Amino acid sequence: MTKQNPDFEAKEAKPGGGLKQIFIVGPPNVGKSLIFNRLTGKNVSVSNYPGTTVEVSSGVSPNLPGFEIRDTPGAYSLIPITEEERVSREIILAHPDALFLHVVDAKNLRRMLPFTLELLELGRRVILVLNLMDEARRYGVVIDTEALGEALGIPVVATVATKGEGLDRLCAVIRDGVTALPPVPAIDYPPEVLQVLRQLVPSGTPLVPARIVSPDLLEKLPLVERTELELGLRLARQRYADGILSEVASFPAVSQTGFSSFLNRLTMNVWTAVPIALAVVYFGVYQFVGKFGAGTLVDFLENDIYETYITPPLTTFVERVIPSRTLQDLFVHDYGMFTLGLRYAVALILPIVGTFFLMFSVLEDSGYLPRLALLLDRVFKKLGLNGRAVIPIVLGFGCGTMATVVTRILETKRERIIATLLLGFAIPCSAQLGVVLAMVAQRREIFVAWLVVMGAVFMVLGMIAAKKVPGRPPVFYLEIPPLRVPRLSNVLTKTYSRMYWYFVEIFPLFLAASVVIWLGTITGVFQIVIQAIQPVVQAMGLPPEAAHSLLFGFFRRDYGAAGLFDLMNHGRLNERQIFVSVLVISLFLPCVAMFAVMQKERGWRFAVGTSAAILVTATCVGISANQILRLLGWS
Amino acid sequence: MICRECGTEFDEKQSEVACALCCARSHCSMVKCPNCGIEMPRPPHPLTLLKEKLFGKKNMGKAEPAPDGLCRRPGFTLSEIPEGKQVLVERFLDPAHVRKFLALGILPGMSLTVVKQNPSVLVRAGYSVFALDKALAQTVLVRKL
Repeated sequence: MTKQNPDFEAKEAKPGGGLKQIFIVGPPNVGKSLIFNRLTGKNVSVSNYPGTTVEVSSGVSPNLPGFEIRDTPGAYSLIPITEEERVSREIILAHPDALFLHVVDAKNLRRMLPFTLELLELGRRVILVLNLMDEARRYGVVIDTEALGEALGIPVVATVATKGEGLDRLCAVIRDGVTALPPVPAIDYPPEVLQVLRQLVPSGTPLVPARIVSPDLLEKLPLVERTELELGLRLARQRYADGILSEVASFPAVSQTGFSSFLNRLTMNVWTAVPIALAVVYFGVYQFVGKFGAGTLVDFLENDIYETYITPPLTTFVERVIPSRTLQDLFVHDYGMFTLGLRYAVALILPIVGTFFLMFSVLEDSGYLPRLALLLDRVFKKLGLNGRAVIPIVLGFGCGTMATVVTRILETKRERIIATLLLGFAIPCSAQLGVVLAMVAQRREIFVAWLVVMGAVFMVLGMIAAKKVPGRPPVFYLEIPPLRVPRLSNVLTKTYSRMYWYFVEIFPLFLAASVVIWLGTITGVFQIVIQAIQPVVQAMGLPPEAAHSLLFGFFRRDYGAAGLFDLMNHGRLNERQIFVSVLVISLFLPCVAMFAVMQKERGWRFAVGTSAAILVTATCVGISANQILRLLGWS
Repeated sequence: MICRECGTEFDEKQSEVACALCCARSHCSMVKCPNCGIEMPRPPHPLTLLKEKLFGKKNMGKAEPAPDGLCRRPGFTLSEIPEGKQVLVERFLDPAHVRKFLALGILPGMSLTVVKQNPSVLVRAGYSVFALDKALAQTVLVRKL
């Protein structure tokens, strides 16, 4: 029933430094990354995949000498819907000689096996990994892995990655070497499908659909025909998969899944889900990130550690070694690399971002985010987004730069543009939020007014964007995973890798900003700019010193916010000025890193245009807020 | 009333015969032609007509907003199935959305259980649960089991 695989696609297969490459592929949410971390142990390193910015982690395993293991973004099939799936597709196509671990959710094998067949058709060496085997067993699913492997002609390994079960066997299978190309499955495609395919390729080409059908090719077909073709291919593969599975596995019908549990019902019912969401925001964001991270931890690191043990000796040291006051300023004093850049990065930003990422990882692993997506879908539709966008938007409260990269999970270009806009305009990142909240927390009225204005800007901007950005209105579809208790080790790993990413991406910018500020000050450029923006600052009713903070806001919003915070602490701002300045700095330009990512993902025109628009909006909102408050007589 | 598709004249009561097969009949603003099975909006209640006369028309007599062409077909879509019912997927009505269903693994011939209709449609397929918004659910033609 199988035919020999002709040598297919011998294009550029660079063995990375003599290491054989292993790619972990498969749909989202089946434990790919966990298997990756289990195999590679602590050797996680995050690197950019060439040509894109999506992070493809790579690592080596002590148990698998000579192999390099790489994790890929989730994908359901070779026909991509989202940007991240496109990345996975490209990886699969570019590495004909690599070994692919196709990780699937064992209980949903029926649904996921067609992708394995696609990989086999393409002529890839595949090991099928049936993960989450414990959940499958709970439902009474029985799979004869030996027989399944025989039917497919590839090794099949059952694992429970969370407990480390089956991973030794997986390593053994990999070590044994999967050298021979597996047979191409002889799938019985209907004649109509084959006929369409024949028209697409020069005659004489073997009709193996996975090798012929590419997104570019499909784009050329009229929509109806394309759909017929895709559906026909998928149905044929599904029939083939079902044929195999009917002999080697049994999937008992269940009337009840974990979905009927009490907690689950609470998170899905609108009346109880809203209070739950508010509770998550209150305890997770306000109490944990705001109070504990931005308050207690920052206080401890900044005042008790940094200002006591690091700044004074460093300042003394630099002052002794470097005679010139100007050069000293580069490293220490008010805006020095060590006293401003490093201090911000380590003592201020790191604890805030760290606690945020910790909370985000817990939410992510518990399966709560898809439920939040479900709840917010209707609100997001008004903004031209769908519920799925909660993931980048919520992440944006941690780090807008990372969130901009994550907009790739959105399906249409339109949604990615709108989400990026919202992230740039109206979502303050945690670093900024920490300082801003400290300022507005002085009086409840200011806090509420700030919240209202920010919310209004977010909604109005989204609605305008939904009207103006061309494209089809969004649709929402998402698999809702069962609620799972997050595993500590996994949460910590995720938090660690996010913080690592943050540090590598953002940290150099902090230092660079210090250097630029230093240069600007000694050359006198800053004085000129500050003079130039004085009228705007005055129109906002702010004291002249605020111009300094706003200028710093160009580098990082939170630099600006921190400057304003200082002004406030020195009693230089009245309540109206606090409100106006906080508003302006919250809406201010995104940081340099985010600008770079926007440029990378959306292009120069978008990045520059958005930044200009943000600047204008922030200024206008600031000036009008000042005028309105003045008319109302609030000072 | 007169069916706008086949022209058969029928009483609203008669349509209940055609609707008997349907599981959504208690809360549905549509009537079905007993002859061809086409759905159309229920004619407005006399009180509604009076209200409209007094206070102006308020979008009340209109059919439920349905994407183009979706109103003119027999059968039911996923968005019309009450919670707890099991259905069989017949086909997809909008080719633009088929890829999404393929990604989720929802294929013609598959049986689904509707778990919830609000705020979005939740369906269980096998051991998984999927959320689809109304617009998407309206493009899935299903058959009652």
